[in-house]
Amino acid sequence: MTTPPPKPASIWRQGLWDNNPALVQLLGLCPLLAVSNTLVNALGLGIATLLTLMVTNTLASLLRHWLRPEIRIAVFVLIIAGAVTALDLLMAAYRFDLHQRLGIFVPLIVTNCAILARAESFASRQPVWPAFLDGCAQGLGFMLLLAVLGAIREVLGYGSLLRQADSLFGSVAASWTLQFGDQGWSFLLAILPPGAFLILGLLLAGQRYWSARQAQAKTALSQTQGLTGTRADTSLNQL
Amino acid sequence: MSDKHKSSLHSIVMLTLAAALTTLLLSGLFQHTKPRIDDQRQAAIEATLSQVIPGIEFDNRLQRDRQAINAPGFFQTDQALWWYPVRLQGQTQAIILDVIAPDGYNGDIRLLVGINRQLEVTGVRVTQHLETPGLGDAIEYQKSPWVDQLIGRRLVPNSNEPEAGSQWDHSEWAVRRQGGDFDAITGATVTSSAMIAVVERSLEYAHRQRDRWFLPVTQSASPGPAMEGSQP
Repeated sequence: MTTPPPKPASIWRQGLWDNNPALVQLLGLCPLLAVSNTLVNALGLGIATLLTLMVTNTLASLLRHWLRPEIRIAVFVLIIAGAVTALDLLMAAYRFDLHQRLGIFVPLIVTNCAILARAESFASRQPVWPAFLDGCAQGLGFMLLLAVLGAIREVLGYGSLLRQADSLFGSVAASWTLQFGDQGWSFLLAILPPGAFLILGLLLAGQRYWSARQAQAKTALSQTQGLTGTRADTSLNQL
Repeated sequence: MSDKHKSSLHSIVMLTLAAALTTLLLSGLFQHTKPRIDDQRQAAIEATLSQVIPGIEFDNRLQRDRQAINAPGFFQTDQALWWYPVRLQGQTQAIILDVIAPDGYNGDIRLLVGINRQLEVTGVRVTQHLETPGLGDAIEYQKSPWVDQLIGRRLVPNSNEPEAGSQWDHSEWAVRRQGGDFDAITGATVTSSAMIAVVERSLEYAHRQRDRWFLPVTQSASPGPAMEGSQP
């Protein structure tokens, strides 16, 4: 408790790259793989997760002095469930089409362990502002990976980008769809779950390779490489 | 000992408070968003309904005039099925059936079938299904115009002696590979066949109900009072 909160720059770096919830911690893979078949679906779920993390991290931090350890997790689960239910209702009311298409995966944000993990391991030990920033950074990190995966799968699977954008951004976006190939183009592997696993695997490999090279570049600090190694190990253990 | 009691009392109070507060906030939000969500849901149903009867004008409120299909066993499902009269000035222009194909690749496919006075299909839209993404889900109009080949189709009377059983010639109502007259969705023959079969069955049902459904309201046949209310 006495350690000073991390600097904003470090929080962002952790959330977006070094400790990205999806890319490094490998948390919340179920929605990640299930709804990343198009960019708009991916962004929709990504934004929903981001908002949830911002709300739950802030509340978890605000309540940290009042909650005893034995009920802390129970209250966090309550907060997360409440925030997600609220989001689900608002989405049904204001983004009905998108809500219909994301279906069960909006309520299932509750079960994304990245959210409880952030509330418990970070927000419950930090002041409100860093906790809020951490929610933003982790949520954005999750959303960005989801969007990249969605974009790759949509381009490969449908030969388009931003199809059905109007369901997320309103009717202005109806003409945003970019079509690269034939209207009827369809590459099944990319649309179905196996494609999601394969592409995520490639992205993970890319991230590991990049991190390893960065670590190697800092040859002066021979310890750095060891650190990268242990981080990869811990993330594998969390599987 | 008393410290321990105090601490667990504190926990109970906190947990109860948190639960009560969350419930309060959520029920408030639920009340606030409910009318909007209901509107959206109604509008979505209304939009899909009007998609299966393109170009047909009507002045009744479809959802309010909805009636149950009471034909146990005919559609091979025990779920509730519906039909909607589409009326202009009391005259039935078309009907929409809300039925189920029980034999999809992954269970029930729920769909709307529009049928006009000449007993031709005017449009088909799937509203609920669990078919394989990327294969069978081509029955969704957003994914593929496959269902459009059903537009304009009608039952073919049996040219042979009708004593052979059915009044209708079923051979055309199948996918091409099985000697029929419909394109199958690539890789989803079961789904395609289920769809074709349920649309044919809908037409057959419409033929049976023809007199009851398409009678002008002024003759006040059977469902009279329901219609009085539909005229604002």
